[in-house]
Amino acid sequence: MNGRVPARYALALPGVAVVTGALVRALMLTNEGDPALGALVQANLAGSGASHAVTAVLLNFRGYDTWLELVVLLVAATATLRARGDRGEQRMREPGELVASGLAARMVPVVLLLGVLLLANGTSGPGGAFQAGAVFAAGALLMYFGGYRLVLVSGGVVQDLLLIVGTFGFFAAAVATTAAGMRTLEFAPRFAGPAIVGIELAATVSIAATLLLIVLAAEEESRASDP
Amino acid sequence: MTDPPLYQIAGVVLFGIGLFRLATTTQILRLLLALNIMGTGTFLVLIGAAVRNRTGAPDPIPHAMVLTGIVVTMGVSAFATALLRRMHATTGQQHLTAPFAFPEDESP
Repeated sequence: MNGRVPARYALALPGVAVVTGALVRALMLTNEGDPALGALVQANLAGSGASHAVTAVLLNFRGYDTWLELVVLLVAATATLRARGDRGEQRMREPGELVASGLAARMVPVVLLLGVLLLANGTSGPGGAFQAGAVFAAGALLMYFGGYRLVLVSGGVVQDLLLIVGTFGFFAAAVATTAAGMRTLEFAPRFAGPAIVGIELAATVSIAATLLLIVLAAEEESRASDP
Repeated sequence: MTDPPLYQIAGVVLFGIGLFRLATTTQILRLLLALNIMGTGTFLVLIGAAVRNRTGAPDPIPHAMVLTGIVVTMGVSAFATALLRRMHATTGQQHLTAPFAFPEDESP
């Protein structure tokens, strides 16, 4: 590469600097706001089914957004699975160093316990479905890279059901609340706790399956292109 | 204005860095990473906005928005990466082609 800086750098740098500077200036100009919505959340926290404000917002007050987030994950999983090449079998990995020494095999139970802890903590502290789902997916990947075959995500109806159950959890809650005469996804205070726990369980399964399949899809594709 | 909102300024700087890379590269994986960095910068701005209020108590709603944003970013990045792999396997290309390609030689 020669020593000259390409022209596009010279063009882009001033433009980006101006935009960044304008945004920083705009930030400095905004003043301290009034957390009206935040106060509203705190006021209604008691009957929301969760004692952690973020969980209450995610799964009760703005449950509709979380529902659509699960749909986005479902679409991402479906699209990623479709975008890979020929539908290969799940590749059997050779156990690597990590597993030959038993380390990964010993870690997996701890990882699963951590996932359960995160899920259980979700209603009263940081945690919840997404964090637990990511941890479960990591544990399953540890097993996969250790040479174990993950039967549940090997394709077929079971895999599809695992992907769908999270979205379906919200759907069931929406149907139940509408059929009971309330506004859709408006939880009565005495049902809010169990509803949130049920939705989080279903969502955890789907999130773990989605994250797992996204990685496995890349694995299968590289197998198809191996000589 | 009392203290400068450092998290938000850092978020805007990250946004600028990503924007610069977005404007100067044609490699698709780098475009994806640049967009991810811009997204992370935006998340930082939102998180900084959560405490920047009169009472000082953290506002949970920007936190929830960022959590949703992280998950959506991950889903979109996964699909974009899968598409990139298909594109590379099918056409051997991993760059943007004309009319988006830069006229001169390829960037590092």
